[in-house]
Amino acid sequence: MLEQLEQKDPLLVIDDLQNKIDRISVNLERYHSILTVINLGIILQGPNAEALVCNDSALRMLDMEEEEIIGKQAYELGQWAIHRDGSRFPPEDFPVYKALKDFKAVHNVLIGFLRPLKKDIIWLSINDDLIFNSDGTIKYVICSMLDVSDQIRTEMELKFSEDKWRFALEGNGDGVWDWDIKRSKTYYSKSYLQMLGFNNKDLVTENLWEDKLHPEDKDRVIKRLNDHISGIDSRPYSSEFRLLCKDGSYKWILARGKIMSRDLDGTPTRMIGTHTDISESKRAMALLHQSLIEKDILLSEIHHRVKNNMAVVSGLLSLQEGYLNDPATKALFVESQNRIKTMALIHEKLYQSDDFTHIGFDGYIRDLVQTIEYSYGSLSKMICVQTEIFHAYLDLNTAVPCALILNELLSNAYKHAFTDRDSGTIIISFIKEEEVFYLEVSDNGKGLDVDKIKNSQSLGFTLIQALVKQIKAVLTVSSEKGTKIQVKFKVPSQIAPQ
Amino acid sequence: MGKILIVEDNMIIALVTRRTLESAGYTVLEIACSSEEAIDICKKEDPDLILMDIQLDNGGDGVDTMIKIREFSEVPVIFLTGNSEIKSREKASAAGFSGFLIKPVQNKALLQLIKSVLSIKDPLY
Repeated sequence: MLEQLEQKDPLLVIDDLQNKIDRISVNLERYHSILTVINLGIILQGPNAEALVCNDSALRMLDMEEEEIIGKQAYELGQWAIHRDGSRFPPEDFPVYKALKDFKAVHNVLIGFLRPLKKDIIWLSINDDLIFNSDGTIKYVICSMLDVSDQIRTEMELKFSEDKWRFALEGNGDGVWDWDIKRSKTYYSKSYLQMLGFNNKDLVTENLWEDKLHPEDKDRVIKRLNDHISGIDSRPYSSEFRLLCKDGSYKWILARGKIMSRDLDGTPTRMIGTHTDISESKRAMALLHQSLIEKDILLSEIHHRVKNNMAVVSGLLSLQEGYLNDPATKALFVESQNRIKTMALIHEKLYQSDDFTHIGFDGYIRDLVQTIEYSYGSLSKMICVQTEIFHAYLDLNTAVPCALILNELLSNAYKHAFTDRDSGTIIISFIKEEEVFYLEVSDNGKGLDVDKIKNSQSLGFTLIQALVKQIKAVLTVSSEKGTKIQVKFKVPSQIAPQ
Repeated sequence: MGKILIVEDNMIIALVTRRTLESAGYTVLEIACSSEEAIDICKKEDPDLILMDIQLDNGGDGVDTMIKIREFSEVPVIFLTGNSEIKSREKASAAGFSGFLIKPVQNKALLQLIKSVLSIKDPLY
């Protein structure tokens, strides 16, 4: 430089220097402008963490005057610093000290600064970068601060609202799960874990739920969930299953959930739901079910015994009949046996069915026809019985009288319709039109005197008339090419056939 | 003619059955009310056929009785039951039987089955 100065005209040298100074000034002004307007707080600190320079943004962010900052140690500036969770951020832990100690830049440290005058908190994301001297010692620390208060506040509000709904959901003891479908991660709430006997400190696997599912429930439950996720099953998600607790026992759980967010293409990305412990109600249901089964067994047993006792009564009549010689008297015993068998068959049908109050009358008619066929089949006549039967259930109060009426009508047809011939046909029809039932027995036999039968004093016809009255039915007797007897009755709507 | 053993704990029902069989020409052995009696009579009399009630109130189970009889005899067994549940039929089927009738049994059906099991010509039909 000196040599150059000696060789050149001093005036020119001054001009040259002036030009350089001007250029530097312009550059400084430019840098200063940038530092002033930039929305990044910058404090230039010396090798002992003392503030040398700061820009306007830094002053604004810390709500301080320049004199309060320049020459001060970092720890003197941060007496009111806090962590994200609200605990105090000790100034001696500030990133600048760490950077100086480790000789390494420190980035993205979040610090909240309480600003007493503004009565608020500013959240700053702080980077501390190092500038070194040529000998490797630290020359400056550049502390840059980005105001992230809006972002932190939004996050906190979100967390607050999540905490609120978790509290609401867990308030009644339910567990909460929050499934990040895309990343296959699930959050299990404290209550969720407690329900299964775990606490927060227990090692809980990512697939806790799936791992703890009862093997017998697994396929069904996972299919239900997958169908819901894929949209195959559009019902609101709810599922019942057993989960293995920490102590090795199983609990019945009711899970309910809702898809909370989806991709642009509609694929679910997040699902939130609850777990309710329904073990107690399951136990109560099982007990109730068991007692219902026991009630059914008991009723079944009663009908069984009634039927057996009737079989014994019928057997006694049969034995007595064996000691008789007079055909007319024997016939009376057979008729009495058949009446008992008719009722026994009702009880047999009842204990075979699941419903102890109604009887499938179509099936009953077929069995009764068989019983009577056996009873009168030895008359060595070719008698064919045809049926046209409507499938219907009758309550006991209607079924027993109906069955006895049918027994009398069918027995009469067997005994009396074909006395003058060797063959014939009996047609039994049981049909329903709207709420009205028609039970009809007709034959192509010799026919009868309608007036005479209406005044008959026989036990058979007396029973028919009495039973017809009992079920409030209408009896019609006609005789054209044989005999046709019809019983028409109504069943009250509450016990109408199912 | 066939010798038939009736195993039935209800004596009235047994008497009715005996009358039916006797009037059809069969010989009916002493009625067995229990499993033990059935086995005893079976050993002594060597029947041609057994009519066995599946549920013997005082003497156990008809199917178990048949299994014990099978240890010394191949006599055909027709089960009679008041219980038409499939279970009892399955159990009897597994043990092997010649016939299965649900009570109340119609005489004609009973006689037809006995006839076919014994493969003899019934004298009355």
